[in-house]
Amino acid sequence: MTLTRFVVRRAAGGLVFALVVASLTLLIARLAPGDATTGEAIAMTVEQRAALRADLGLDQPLLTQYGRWLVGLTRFDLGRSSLFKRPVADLVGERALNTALLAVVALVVASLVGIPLGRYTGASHAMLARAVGAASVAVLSLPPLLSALLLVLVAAHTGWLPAGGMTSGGLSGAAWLADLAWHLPVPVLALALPLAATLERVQSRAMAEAIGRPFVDASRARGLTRERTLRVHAWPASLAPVLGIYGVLVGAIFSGSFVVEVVTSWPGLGRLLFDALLARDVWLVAGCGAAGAASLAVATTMADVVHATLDPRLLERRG
Amino acid sequence: MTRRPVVLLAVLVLVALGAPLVAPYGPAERFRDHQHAPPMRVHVDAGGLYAHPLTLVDRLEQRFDADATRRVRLPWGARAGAAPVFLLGADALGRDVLSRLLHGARASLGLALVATAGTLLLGALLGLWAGYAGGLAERGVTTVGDLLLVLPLIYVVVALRAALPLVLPLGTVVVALAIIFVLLGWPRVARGVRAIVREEAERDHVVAAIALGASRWRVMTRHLLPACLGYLAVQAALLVPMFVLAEATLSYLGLGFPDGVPSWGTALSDAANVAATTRAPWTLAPAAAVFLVVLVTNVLLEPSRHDAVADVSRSG
Repeated sequence: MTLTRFVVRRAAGGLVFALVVASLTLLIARLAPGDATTGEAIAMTVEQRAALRADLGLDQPLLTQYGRWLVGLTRFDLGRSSLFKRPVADLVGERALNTALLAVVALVVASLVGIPLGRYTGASHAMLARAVGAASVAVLSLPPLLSALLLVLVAAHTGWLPAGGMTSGGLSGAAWLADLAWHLPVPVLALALPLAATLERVQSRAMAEAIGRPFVDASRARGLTRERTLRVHAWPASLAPVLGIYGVLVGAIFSGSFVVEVVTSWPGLGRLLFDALLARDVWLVAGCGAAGAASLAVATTMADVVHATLDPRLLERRG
Repeated sequence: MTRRPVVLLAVLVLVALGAPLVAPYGPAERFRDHQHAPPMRVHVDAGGLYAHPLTLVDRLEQRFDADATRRVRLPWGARAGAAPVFLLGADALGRDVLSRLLHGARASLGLALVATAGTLLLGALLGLWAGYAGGLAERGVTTVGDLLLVLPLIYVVVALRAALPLVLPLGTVVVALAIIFVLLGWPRVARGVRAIVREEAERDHVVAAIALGASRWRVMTRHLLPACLGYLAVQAALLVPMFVLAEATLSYLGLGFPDGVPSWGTALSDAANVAATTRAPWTLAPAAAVFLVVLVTNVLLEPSRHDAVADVSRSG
């Protein structure tokens, strides 16, 4: 199977996946007791409430609603949010960007910390390497919910960093960017710590395994230095399982960012979905489901494509 | 390799059942003059362990002074009316954090263990069926299972729970959460069981059993299931921390146990107030309990985890 065919197949699968997930979220939200007008029902007359329901399209039969939503989907029209009084597509796009920023920065930080550390601990028996490995198991056991709570507490206690939110508001240009960077460390670290620990463990094990293989002995026998053997022969050979884990990490980032967004008040997709669910804002829930599933499909496909480009054996195995 | 997870599970069951019995105070017992009282230092004298009782100095600032002239024994077996001793401090309502932590173990670990048992049962049944019957059954189970495995667990849990009425009685909440956990957790178990069964079904002893006329049920339970026991034990030990964390997250969001029920998650949501938590960081003690459960699992199962490394970390 060629890479192009692989990508096309994955993209088609991802599209179906996103559609199924979005439809299921819409169904779940629609079947939940109450609707977007329930919360304000006490302040309205029966006629006003009926008018509002008609305005939101909630008075139609379920299948008609679903059909209309599908038709709108082809034009990227995801309906209107009753909670925010805005088109869902704009809202979801905006928030998805915030989540993507958080996720990408966290992934980069985790890779820059986890992989070099794992390379070191996998190749060394020094006390320091063991200490790093043990610390990594401890951090791995600190799920994003706890790391986020802990970091928010530290930030609030010391006053070094803002404990929540994404911007302070009322700023623009360079000041806005600096303010954003100022708000990033707490949520990014909360998300990146467990990821970095996972990467460290996987890289460490892969490195140790690679060092046990014959070509490493052969390289040493040819007279290459230890450092050069590790860098040129052992490390590249150990990268396959590390790259493989990125596909799984995408799922971890999705779960993790939801919790981190809620704890640190980061205005992302996860928080939006949570608010929409509680407000029974069905179109917004479905929009979040569609956007979330689509980005999940895109991210896992990207991880797999990168993996397959670097390790073409994958294509043969699947073809 | 099956001994470690089994011992771990047995210990967790013991903690879930026994912890509330050793709690010094009731989970809802309030000490009016000890709101946000800090953890007390324990001293030793000839009569055993003791602490200096706290007196409230400033109600607004919630400052306390230890009265060094008086000594109170630890709360276990203390005389009625003695000054309270808070080994892990008190929360915003003046309740003993240690007692609430111990009582919370029943709800948090209990729910996780019940959900784990259900997940193992459903996962093993579906895995056996898919692996042994093959064909359409196998394709159906693996397709649905793979779809569920790809979805970020916590989103689905929150979405399903939020779709139910927000306020439910305790019994209904426990049943609803356990069902949601089982419905989302089974593919992790079924995937491995199916693979083991497919391999095991080719072995001579299974072929012989079929040739001797053993029924399908007998082949599955007597000849195929025993081969999966080690895998099931490891999976059980991995599922418990995952479900403990899911409960903590849900209760933190206000979608888990009702307010009055002491659990690690509801205690965390009480501590979510940043201003209060900076003043009284000891109210985050349940976070330490959750961390400990995950850590012990990770350390004990480290050599046998393989690809499961990601399973625990993605549950967050």
